[in-house]
Amino acid sequence: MMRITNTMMTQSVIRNINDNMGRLSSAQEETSTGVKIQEASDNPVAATKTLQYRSVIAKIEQYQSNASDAISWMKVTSSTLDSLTDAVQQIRDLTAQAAGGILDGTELEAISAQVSEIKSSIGELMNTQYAGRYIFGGYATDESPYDTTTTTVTDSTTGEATDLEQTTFKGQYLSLYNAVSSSVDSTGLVNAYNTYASTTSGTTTTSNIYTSTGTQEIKYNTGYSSQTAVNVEGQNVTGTGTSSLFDTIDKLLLGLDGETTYQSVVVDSTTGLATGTTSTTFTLDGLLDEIDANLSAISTETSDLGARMNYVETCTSRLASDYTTYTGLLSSNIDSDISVATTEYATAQTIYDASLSVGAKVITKTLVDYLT
Amino acid sequence: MSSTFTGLYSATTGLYASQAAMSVATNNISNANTDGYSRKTVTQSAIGPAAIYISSASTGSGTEITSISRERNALIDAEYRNENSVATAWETKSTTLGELEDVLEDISGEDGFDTIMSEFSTAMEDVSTDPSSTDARTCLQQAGQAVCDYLNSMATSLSTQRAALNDDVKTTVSEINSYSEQIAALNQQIQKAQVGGTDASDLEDQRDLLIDKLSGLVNVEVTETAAGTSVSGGKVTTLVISIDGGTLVNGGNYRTLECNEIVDSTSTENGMYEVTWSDTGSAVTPKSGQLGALLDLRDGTGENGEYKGVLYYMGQLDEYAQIFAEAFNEGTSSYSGHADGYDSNGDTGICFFTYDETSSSSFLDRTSTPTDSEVATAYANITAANISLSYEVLNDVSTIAASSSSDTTETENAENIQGLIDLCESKEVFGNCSSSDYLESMTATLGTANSYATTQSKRHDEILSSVDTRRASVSSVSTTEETTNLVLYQEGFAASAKSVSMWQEVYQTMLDMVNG
Repeated sequence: MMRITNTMMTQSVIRNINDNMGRLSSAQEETSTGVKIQEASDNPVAATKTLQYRSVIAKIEQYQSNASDAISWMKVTSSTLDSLTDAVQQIRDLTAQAAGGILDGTELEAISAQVSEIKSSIGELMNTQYAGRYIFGGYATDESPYDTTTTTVTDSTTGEATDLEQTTFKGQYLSLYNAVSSSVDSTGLVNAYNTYASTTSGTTTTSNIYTSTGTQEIKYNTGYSSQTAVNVEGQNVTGTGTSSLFDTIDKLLLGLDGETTYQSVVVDSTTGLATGTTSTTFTLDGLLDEIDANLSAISTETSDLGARMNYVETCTSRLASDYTTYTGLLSSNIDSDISVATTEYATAQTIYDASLSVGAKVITKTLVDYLT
Repeated sequence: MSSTFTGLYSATTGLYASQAAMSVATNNISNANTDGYSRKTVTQSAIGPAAIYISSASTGSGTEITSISRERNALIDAEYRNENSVATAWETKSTTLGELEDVLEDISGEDGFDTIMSEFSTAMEDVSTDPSSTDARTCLQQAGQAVCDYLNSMATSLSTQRAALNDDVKTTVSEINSYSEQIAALNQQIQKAQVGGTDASDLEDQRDLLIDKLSGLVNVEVTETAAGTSVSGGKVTTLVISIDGGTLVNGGNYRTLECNEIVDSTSTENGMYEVTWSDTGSAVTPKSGQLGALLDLRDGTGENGEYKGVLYYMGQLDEYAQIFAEAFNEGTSSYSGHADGYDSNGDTGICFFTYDETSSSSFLDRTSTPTDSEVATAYANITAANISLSYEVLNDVSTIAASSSSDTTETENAENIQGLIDLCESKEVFGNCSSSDYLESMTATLGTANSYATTQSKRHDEILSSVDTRRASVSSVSTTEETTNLVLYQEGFAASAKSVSMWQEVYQTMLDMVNG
């Protein structure tokens, strides 16, 4: 049988009390911090999961913020497109009225004035801003995309100068001389075209006529591997070249003035220079089809935008549920259950007290106390 | 028939024996709490007849104390020392790894590296939704700076840790030298005592205590070899202690260890102490004990089965800094990097991360497309301690390359930064794991290593206390036992004293008989 001495008993008591104090200390730490793991070594697997969940939650929060920014931008665009549709619809109604053929000169003039008004308000609409950025300019959000510049046509025979206003998009002509009054000298028009169509500096020639060079979509991250384009590009709404909304309105104005033909330049596709002009006959009735085409373009963009807005709304609600899921997972991983932790603390406390009191009794008595 | 005075003589021997036994018991009681004291036990035996030729019944000749022996089990001592080396080694590892964990991670709080990388990612997203905003760009610059600051301070902390471990190695070595000197001196005294036949128990107790302490520092092998016989026929022995195969103490002679600073810029141990034997200069590589643990922690790179020490984690951080900077600046196979994009001024080729705030052009010359080896050489300069934002990005946030085109009118072009966000999430950055995977795996490695070290430390501590208990069972003093012995021998002494009185009376009677 093993021999037991006082030293052994004392050491054993000290060791056990120390162990109990350790248990009490970690129970106390868990209850006061509210987390189960203080360091990765406490539970490496749970610690790694905690890091993963936290980074996922941070990402979800960012996506939610992106999604709400996206919705704001798209709402502004959407309401602008609605106003634009109304304006173009109004033009259509006026055109239908004028095409009826029952109005006289003064009334036609009044309609013409109205149409001009609507034309400038359309220009303003297309220059709408959201938070200081122009929404229809693609990537060029610092400058207003739509503007009007005056070009001068000099009559080749009389030398008279006529001013023609052309709409520009991002500093380039949306369309140049596609709907000009037949009263303008055609040679002068060709010369003017060749002057304005391009700029030469040194050996480089840059075209001043706008051509679409690919999409400029402003994309926001609205979820894991899910991006949404938030903008609508102006050239898709108003059209370019011969299908431009502004050209349609110009033709309308010519028609309201009483003209039945308009001239447009013929451009050699290889040289890019104008070689002559063609004259096209039109009726106010025929213009209705062109206006309908413009309305259809706007409506396409509006429904595309609507679909994207719906998508972002879906993303938002999915993100919200993901957020709840992951915060729940994180909490169950790292947060301590208060009732379990306090019970453990109480147990540790009791054991500690018991070891102290029993230990005290054991180490104080020796045989010497009983020898007289 | 035995001699007349045998009775008195027997009683006297009884007195002497009881007295001696009581002294031994008293000495044991006095030394009950002395560290390392082994209790003494008394062997009492009856004295046989003076001559073996007497054939008649013998009444005995009394008693004598044949030996006072020191209760000590050398086998248990050896077991204790082995276990002590292992337990101390694990304890050292557990403590140091715990300190490393405090430095490198923050699981319960929100200030760890993972939070910093999350904030960097958030800042990039903010720039992607508003690339022309100076505020968003400044936030990204600050977040990038925070990443660099964190890596810099981590590297510094780890270096400091390593330097502290290095100092500990030196301290441990001088402790070892001090113990070996003391043990050699004791060996000399003990051998002298053994030769002369005197009791060397207390000296042996002191020596055993010192060897125990030495075993905690470095794993030792203790052998006691016979060196002859003493005057009184007892053994004379020499104690030999060896570490790592080399003799540390041989009887009264001892060898010392010394620490020499390694000067070799190609070695990972440049600037660290090498432990060698002072006389031969050959290296000492202990496997266990505090010294073994310190060397593992200080120099372990985790390769070729080495322990994953501080050097391993420093290497991991350096690798992270280098690979992340290269991937972020130059892009990966599917994604373009920061240098491929254009800033607000239409410039390209700007690095986001360089080292020591060097400019992008001095870091890597891009006037002609750099070759793979030029790129590798440039990025080999980046470590966790020197990673920083590039000179351009530090001084002008407009140089952050968010755009994918040199056209400066495209102020909302955020395609490059979108690509960078996707790059940071992808697994191409570190071969087959993403940036957050890498960090999580580093945390997991450290956490697991520390958890293992702590478990081992506890387990070996328990084994050590169990061996210690067994040793105490053999050698420690039980006051109950000694007090009982005292009572026993006191009674014996009283009885012997009584018998002396009785024999005195008998002799008196005999004398009276003669005198009439």
